[in-house]
Amino acid sequence: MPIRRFTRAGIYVVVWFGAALICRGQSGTAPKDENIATPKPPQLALVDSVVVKSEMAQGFVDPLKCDGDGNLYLMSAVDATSGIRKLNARGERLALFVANSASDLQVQLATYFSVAPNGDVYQLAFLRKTIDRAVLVYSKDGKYKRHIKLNVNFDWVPSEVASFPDGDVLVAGSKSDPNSDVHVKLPFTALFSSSGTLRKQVALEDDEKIQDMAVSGDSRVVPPDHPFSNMAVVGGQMEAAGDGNVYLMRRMSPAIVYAVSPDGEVVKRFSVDPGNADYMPISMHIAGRRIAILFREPQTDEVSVKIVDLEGRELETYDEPKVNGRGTLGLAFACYLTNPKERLVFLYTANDGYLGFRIAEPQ
Amino acid sequence: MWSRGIWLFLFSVGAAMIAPTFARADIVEGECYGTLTYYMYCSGEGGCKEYFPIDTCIDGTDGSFCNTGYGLCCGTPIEEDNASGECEDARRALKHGGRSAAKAVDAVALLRSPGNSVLDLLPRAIFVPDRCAHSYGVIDPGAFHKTSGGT
Repeated sequence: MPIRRFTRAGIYVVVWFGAALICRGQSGTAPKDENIATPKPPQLALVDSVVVKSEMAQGFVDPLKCDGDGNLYLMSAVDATSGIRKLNARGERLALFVANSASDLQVQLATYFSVAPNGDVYQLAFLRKTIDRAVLVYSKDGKYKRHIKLNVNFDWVPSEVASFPDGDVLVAGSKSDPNSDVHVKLPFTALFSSSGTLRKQVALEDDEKIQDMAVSGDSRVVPPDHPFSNMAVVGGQMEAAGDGNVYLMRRMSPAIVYAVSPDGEVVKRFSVDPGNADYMPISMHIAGRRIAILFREPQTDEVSVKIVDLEGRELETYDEPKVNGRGTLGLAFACYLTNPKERLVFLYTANDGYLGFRIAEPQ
Repeated sequence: MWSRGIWLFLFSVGAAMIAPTFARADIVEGECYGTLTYYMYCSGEGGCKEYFPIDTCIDGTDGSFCNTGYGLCCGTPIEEDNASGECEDARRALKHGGRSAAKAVDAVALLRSPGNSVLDLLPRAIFVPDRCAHSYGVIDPGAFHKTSGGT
């Protein structure tokens, strides 16, 4: 009996030592072999640069968008005549979406837009001689289809729009605080039917915090040189994803992202942390089940792109490639593609004012 | 009872006559009805890259009398069409009984245009941040270089 007990104990010891050796090998606590390099995370590399001599572009108005085919959508001014240009990856113009083609409206300003999965373009419009706000709907070839007058009974400034598959639209904006003598803008987000009826105000978890920041004059939300706007709202982004939800990003650091379902429910909320509170998110693109958010450090203009999945789980972080200490991509992040391979497209103004594309890939 | 009916009738007629006046008061010609802020990207020589907000006014009429959208974006002057003065939102403008509109300015040009001097243009010069040069630039309401492109 004692011998059997001894044998069993011996087996335990042997198994324990064996397991310890295996774990040691896997956990990397063993002495490192200096010849084995730790794999580096993928970094962006500039792989191509295209100058489009048929298009001029001295500047780009946010947002910059693209569709699943890699077509780019950009505008250079918010007046009613300049329009949104749709270009393919070679820079050939495919369509022009012009607000004053809405002959049933008098558009003063046409601003934020989104591209629906079917190619239709939805754009916010501010009308002359009225405080009404509207959404212009264009077909993918640039033809004006109709407008959605956003029926609310107060004055407000919508900042972002995106559409759901059923034609309803989610609109985020801000309105004046009726209880304040100062210019405080409070967030207001709502789901509107395709005919413009207010279906539901969407309550977002962080709006109270954003509101408190605005009321207290927090310069991250109400900078001194832009006292009439709420930057967490006006610097936001909105885009429809393939899962049927619309994703809304607030311009906060970390970036806050909400997924809103077609019935106006907030089904997800997550934050994307750039790792440094000085980095602010300035653009967001969704490709398949991935979201790319570009963060910028405002003093140095250094940028970093965070890739997360639709649940907010961090997948990659890409820093801007540099040459002689200077970034090579710029700030105008226009497109994120994952099919057939991961690719990021940036816009820039080339010599003589021509439009330029810079294409980067992780390597 | 009869006299109450007359009073109700008169009140209704009076309200109906006054209502359109209030409705028109919502929009005062030349007034600014809110600030619209949007962001602009620019790039230029020497690796210049910029991203900054521009304010413009939402106007009840033609946008002629309010605004703020001046700036240098990688050396290119940026201005909202037909803009001058300061922007107020509707509630404040209405509370103040309307604001006298500044004279409309329809153009902006770089002061460094040939033939111009600072002294000539001081009364109307506008100093704006030139982020690429880490200094201030001066623009002159003169000739507007529109930012939109496309051929």
